[in-house]
Amino acid sequence: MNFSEVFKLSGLLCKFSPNGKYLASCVQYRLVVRDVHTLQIVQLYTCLDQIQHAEWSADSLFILCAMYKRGLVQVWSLEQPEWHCKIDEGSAGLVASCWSPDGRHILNTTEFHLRITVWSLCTKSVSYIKYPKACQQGISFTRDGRYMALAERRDCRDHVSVFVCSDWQLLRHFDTDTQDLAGLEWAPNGCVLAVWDSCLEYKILLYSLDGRLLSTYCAYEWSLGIKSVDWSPSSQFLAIGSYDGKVRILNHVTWKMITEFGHLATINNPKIVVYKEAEKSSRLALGYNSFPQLRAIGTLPSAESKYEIASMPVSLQILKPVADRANPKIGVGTMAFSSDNYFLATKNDNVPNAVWIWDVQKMRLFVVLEQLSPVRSFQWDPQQPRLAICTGSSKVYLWSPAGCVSVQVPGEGDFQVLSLCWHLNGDSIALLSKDHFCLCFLETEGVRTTFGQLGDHT
Amino acid sequence: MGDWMTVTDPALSSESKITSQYTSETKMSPSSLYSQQVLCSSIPLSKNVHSFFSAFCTEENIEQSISYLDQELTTFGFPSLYEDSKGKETKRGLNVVAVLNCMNELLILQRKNLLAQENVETQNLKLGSDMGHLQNCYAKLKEQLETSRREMSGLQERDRQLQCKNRNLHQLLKNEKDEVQKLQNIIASRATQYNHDMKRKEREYNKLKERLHQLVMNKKDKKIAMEILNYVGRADGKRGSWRTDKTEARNEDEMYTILLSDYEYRQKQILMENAELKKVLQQMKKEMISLLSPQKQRPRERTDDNTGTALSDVEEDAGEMNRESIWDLSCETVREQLTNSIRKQWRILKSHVEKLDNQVSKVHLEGVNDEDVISRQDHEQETEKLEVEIQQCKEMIKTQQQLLQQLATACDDDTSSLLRDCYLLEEKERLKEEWSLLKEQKKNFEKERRSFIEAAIRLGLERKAFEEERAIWLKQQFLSMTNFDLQNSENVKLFSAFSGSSDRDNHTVHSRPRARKPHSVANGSPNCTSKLTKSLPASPSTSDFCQTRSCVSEHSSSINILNITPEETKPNQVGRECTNLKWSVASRPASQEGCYNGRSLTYANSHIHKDNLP
Repeated sequence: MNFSEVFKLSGLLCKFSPNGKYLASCVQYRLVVRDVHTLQIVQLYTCLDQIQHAEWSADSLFILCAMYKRGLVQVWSLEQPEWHCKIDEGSAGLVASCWSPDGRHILNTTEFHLRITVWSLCTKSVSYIKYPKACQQGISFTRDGRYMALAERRDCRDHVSVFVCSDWQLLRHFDTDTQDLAGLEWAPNGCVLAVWDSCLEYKILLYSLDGRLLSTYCAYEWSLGIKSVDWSPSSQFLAIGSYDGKVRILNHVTWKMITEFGHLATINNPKIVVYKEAEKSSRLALGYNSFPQLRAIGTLPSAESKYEIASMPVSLQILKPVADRANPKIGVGTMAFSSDNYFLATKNDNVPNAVWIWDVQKMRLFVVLEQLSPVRSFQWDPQQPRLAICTGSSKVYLWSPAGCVSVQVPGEGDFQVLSLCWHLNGDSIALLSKDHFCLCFLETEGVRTTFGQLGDHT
Repeated sequence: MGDWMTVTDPALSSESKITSQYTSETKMSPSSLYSQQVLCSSIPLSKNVHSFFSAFCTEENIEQSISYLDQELTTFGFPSLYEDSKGKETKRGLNVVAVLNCMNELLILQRKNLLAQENVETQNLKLGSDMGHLQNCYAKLKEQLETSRREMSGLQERDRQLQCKNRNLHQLLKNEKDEVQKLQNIIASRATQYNHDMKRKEREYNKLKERLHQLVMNKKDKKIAMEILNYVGRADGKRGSWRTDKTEARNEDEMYTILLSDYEYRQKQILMENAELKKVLQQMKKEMISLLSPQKQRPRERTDDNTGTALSDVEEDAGEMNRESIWDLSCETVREQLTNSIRKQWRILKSHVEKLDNQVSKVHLEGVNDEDVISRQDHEQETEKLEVEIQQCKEMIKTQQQLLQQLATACDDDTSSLLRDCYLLEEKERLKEEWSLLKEQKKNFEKERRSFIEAAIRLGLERKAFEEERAIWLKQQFLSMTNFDLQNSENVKLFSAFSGSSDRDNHTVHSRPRARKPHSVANGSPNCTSKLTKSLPASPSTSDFCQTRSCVSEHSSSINILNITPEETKPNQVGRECTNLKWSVASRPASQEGCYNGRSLTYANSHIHKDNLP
């Protein structure tokens, strides 16, 4: 495993281009585009203000940089550095900006969710979509980029509009039986739309592309409901994480629940492997221990750690949620299916240090990773069943069915990995800290062979 | 009767106790009196009777009393006291025999009555005690009844209380339910209110939004604009098309095609799955058939009525097998056929397995009954037994090992002392043996000594005789010889030679025991001391003794054997000293001195030393 040198970064804005050739990173008001392999600067653009959001177009030709404070969006072309485009939302303000899947339109959401403006880079045309709903996940594009589902709120009722992205024509418009729609997401095959209610009510509705209601699912009532939703890449399963600390898996035929994954704090099953991150008691650590006054300062920046297989029964650290506050830290808040559908990684928010990995084939818990500090984010390798985890420490953790490893990010100073993102082909990860980033290259050959065997096994 | 009463009165008055009784009774018939007498059991009868009778009959009223008695007796059915008066109204004489008989009978009666009375009394007593017992029982039962009544009342009280409580709890439950209902109502109302409020707020918000929208958007905000260098081409290279109904229709079409393709894809998948499942079913069926066909033969042979169906089954199966290709078509009839045949096969298999199970159980039962075959239970028991034995043996070995270890280390003082005692005892025994041996040797030595002494005496005597002879001879020579000088010189020579030889003889004779004695001492005492100090059995000592005793001439070799020194051809003296030096490490100085000093002494000395040893 190799690491690149450390580059500057701001706002955790570092994106691989969809074609995997370039890496865009933002430093204050500058946008830097590098070659992924050489890490040489390919282009450097200067925006009008500090960039708050950056996004590659789907064809990797353009990058949009949003400056929400100023209500500005600047678009840069990779092929023509002199080409520029500036969109000013003026007094309407700007809270969100994104590309349409064709890479020729930009959707800007104005303040107060008054409307969504669709700016075309091809024509002068500007379209407006009224009444967008201000919610967690109000826009969803199908994976093939043909359709967009948009949550709307009209006359105190939730509606969903399905647009054809090519000409922004409204294809379907239907109201949903939700109290307060919180999000919607297309299945990867683009034929089923999952729509779920806000946390006050456990309700998920499944609509066909043509607006027919396929199914409604409600696990329980009178309690906080859905916290996260994720489709399996094959569209076969819909995982629903809820505030009761469970993940429910629905199937795509009957839309009934297949199984329930409970996130128990004590694990007493010899079939489950629990990896516990432990500080390596190295020479350094011993020296550290001998200075108790240093201990009080905080975490040692470069204390190495390793994984130990915990013996059963294992009890995980539980965070007691504050019951009288909104958005309590309970329930399954993050979920991700592996790219090959075999595994599901989840995080229960009141067990912040642990990542559960479930075997989807056998529909049971497979592995639990318990970190020393709360898990910030995790992401699956787009190519293999390999999970990268970061916890805000100077380490990156990798899990695969073969085992897991904790890797110290080298370099002077503390590199606190707050976020990470995989390269398209899974041979490098961008590790992002508060104001730096670096690339972590994984030895592809050796890893590939081992994973190839494991792939067979799975 | 009235007369009799007056007469009897004074007599009765004397008996103050029974007066009233008898006064009242005399009024009654004599029978009642009799019975009365029987009844009043408490009165000491004999005396009373006597006094009564004495008072009853006096000199004056003999006749009267006789007649009265007669009357009385006759009324009681006794024979008359009077003689049968054949004559007229003459005075009837008293028939003494009859009187006596009557008396006797009366006495017998009396006795009987007394007995009866006693019986009655005992019965009475018995009854009294029974009565007492029953009364006790009654009291007890009454008490029990009382307590149980009290208990019952207590229980009733408790029951009442519990019921009360229950009622209260029910009430509470009801209240709680009401509360819950109320709260739920409140929640619901709150929810509706909240929703209502939310809606109102949302409406307001929408209004505001609308207003804002108007304000912001309708101002023709110049700022809202896009500055672009030049428009870029579409990703697909096509030009944008106008929105028309046509495009709408096209979009719809596209959507439906997408949906259709998705459904088709799914259908294909399902079909594939189905096909695979069918394949599995088919395979299963085939296997079942192949599995069952040999078994089917037998029952067919046994039972004729089954043959028809079985045969038809087989035929059917064969026919189906030929129609395998049909299965690719998912037709309901085919499916039904397949499932039916599978079910049939399955049933057959099931029954067969059950049969096999039954057979197995039967065989098992038979096996149990059969004596030749060792049943599994026996096997298991045997193996268990053997295992237990192995375990025991292992334990034993372990304990033995432990004991051995303990012995080897001699960690405990007790055990070591015990052991030492054992060893000492052994040594004692051995020493005793040696002692007896030595005693024997001593005797032998003494015998030898005596013989030596005798020999010496004899020699002395002989010598004397010889010298006398010589003197005589010399005298004769001296007297008779003419050639004195020549002869003398020869004689001298001869003499010297003779005397020398005799001397030498003497020497050797003397040196023998001498040489032997210290040697034996040197060999013996160090051995003993070594035994003491080393506390080890010195078995070679006795044999050495024998050796030293028997083969005196082989001193040096024996010593060498003892000492295991390389120098073999050393003279006796040196070898001995060598041994002494060697032994001196272990031996006591006294004994050593004894050895050295006692070289000239007799071996008795060494024995004295040895005597002290045990």
